[in-house]
Amino acid sequence: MNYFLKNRKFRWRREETLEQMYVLGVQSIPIIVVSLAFIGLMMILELAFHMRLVLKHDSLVPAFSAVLMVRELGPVITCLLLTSRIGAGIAAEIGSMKVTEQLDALKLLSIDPFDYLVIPRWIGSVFAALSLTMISIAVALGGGALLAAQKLGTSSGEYFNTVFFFVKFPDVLRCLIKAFVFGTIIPFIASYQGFSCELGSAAVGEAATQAVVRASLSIIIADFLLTYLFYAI
Amino acid sequence: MAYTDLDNEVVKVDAVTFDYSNAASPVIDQLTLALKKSEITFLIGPSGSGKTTLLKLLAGLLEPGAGDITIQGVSLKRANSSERRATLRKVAMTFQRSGLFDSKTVLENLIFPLQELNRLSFEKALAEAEKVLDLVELKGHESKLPHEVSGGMQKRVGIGRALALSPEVVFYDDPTAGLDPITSKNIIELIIQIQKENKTTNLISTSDLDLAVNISRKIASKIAFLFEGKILQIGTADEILGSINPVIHQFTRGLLEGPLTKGAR
Ligand SMILES: Nc1ncnc2c1ncn2[C@@H]1O[C@H](COP(=O)(O)OP(=O)(O)O)[C@@H](O)[C@H]1O
Ligand SMILES: [Mg+2]
Repeated sequence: MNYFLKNRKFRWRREETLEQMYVLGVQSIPIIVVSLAFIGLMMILELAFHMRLVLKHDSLVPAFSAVLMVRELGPVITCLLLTSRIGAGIAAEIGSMKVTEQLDALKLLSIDPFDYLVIPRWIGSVFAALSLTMISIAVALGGGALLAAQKLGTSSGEYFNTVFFFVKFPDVLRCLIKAFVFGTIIPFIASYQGFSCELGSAAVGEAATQAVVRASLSIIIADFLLTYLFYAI
Repeated sequence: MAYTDLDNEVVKVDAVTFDYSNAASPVIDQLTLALKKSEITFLIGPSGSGKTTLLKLLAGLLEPGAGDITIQGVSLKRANSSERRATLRKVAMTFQRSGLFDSKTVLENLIFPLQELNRLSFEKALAEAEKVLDLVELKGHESKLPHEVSGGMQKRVGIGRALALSPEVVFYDDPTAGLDPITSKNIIELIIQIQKENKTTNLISTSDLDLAVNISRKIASKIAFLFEGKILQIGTADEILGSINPVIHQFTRGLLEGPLTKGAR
């Protein structure tokens, strides 16, 4: 361990990091924003239906949908979509770098593949997870306000009043912690799959598939554990 | 003991054994070999005989399971990490499957090692890279990506990238793999011509017997025959062609019957 630390000269890779923030974060905006907007709308309709049935009125729909959005769906759905978009890409990229001996070439230049490949993707992915979660929650709530005004007759003033009454700062903080954890899971699992890729192009496909499967599963389990930790005790 | 130019053997391989974790028998088996200063040696052997593995061991990309590799008098096993780095710094390698950074242009592939290892400023690295570009005759292709140039050009980019750092020892892993005979000949001749100028010590692996024989006759270099992780014989082209070793005999004659194919049928 001492040896490991002593011989490590970490090098901050600004260019690669900025590139990954762009590729993993900015380029994922459209798919995630559109998906989350529709999920926000669907939630308003569903909750309105159930609340009318059980409670006979729908004044709490904005509050419930916002709470569910911030606590669960915002970070989880965002990061699951992010997994399928970037998890496969990271695994396939690193896997094919291994197959075409680019990883050997890096090593020959004394470049640590972890510093060079994993750290920039980690930062890019955490950046993407945090910012996209925030953006998509905002979009979902905005869409919800419009739909609530249309279908439930709730003015957007009322809507956001109830939302801010029920969604507390700790909820937002926990939401960000979740996004951070999920944003970390994706690049580490995907890079691992890439680095342990067998030789051959079928193996690259397999690494990509495994990256998405394992990262998605890990995110779902991590979400349960975090929710349990945050809210169940 | 300090290394001096009088020590003629730049690379020494001493009873090196290596296996990939999943392999049943060692890929490199008690292999011993020496490369003399400023000499070109061909490493020939059927595919799967361990050529790539041997070159990666020599370049420090893989660790021997047993035995030792000495480069310019420095034992890679006994050297501390900074000695090891300084020694391997003088070693370059080209890769069979190109190993070019596919998201970087031809020019960037040449600049990258100069900036990374030599810590040159961009301007200095660019000036060096331009020289290399000339050397490997790639002027006019600098802003293309590796997949946008022909197979022969990709090999030349790889050669250029290896030479950019002015190495003293160069390992070429199957530099003609997948090329047509004329391009193959051009690539080998480029390697030979560059070696004449900068006097590096080279080991060139190939499974192309004709090419190795022709060139080594012309420049009087040696051929080492690798099979099942062992050097069966090392000698001149004619010694290899006239070998009585049944494996080499079968390989050089291209015979279907013999020890090389005994498992295949
Ligand atoms: N990364 C690896 N993992 C496991 N086995 C490998 C790996 N690379 C090569 N091998 C095996 O080692 C043997 C030698 O391979 P290689 O050194 O590539 O031979 P050559 O370059 O002469 O074709 C082959 O049997 C090959 O299947
Ligand atoms: Mg090979």
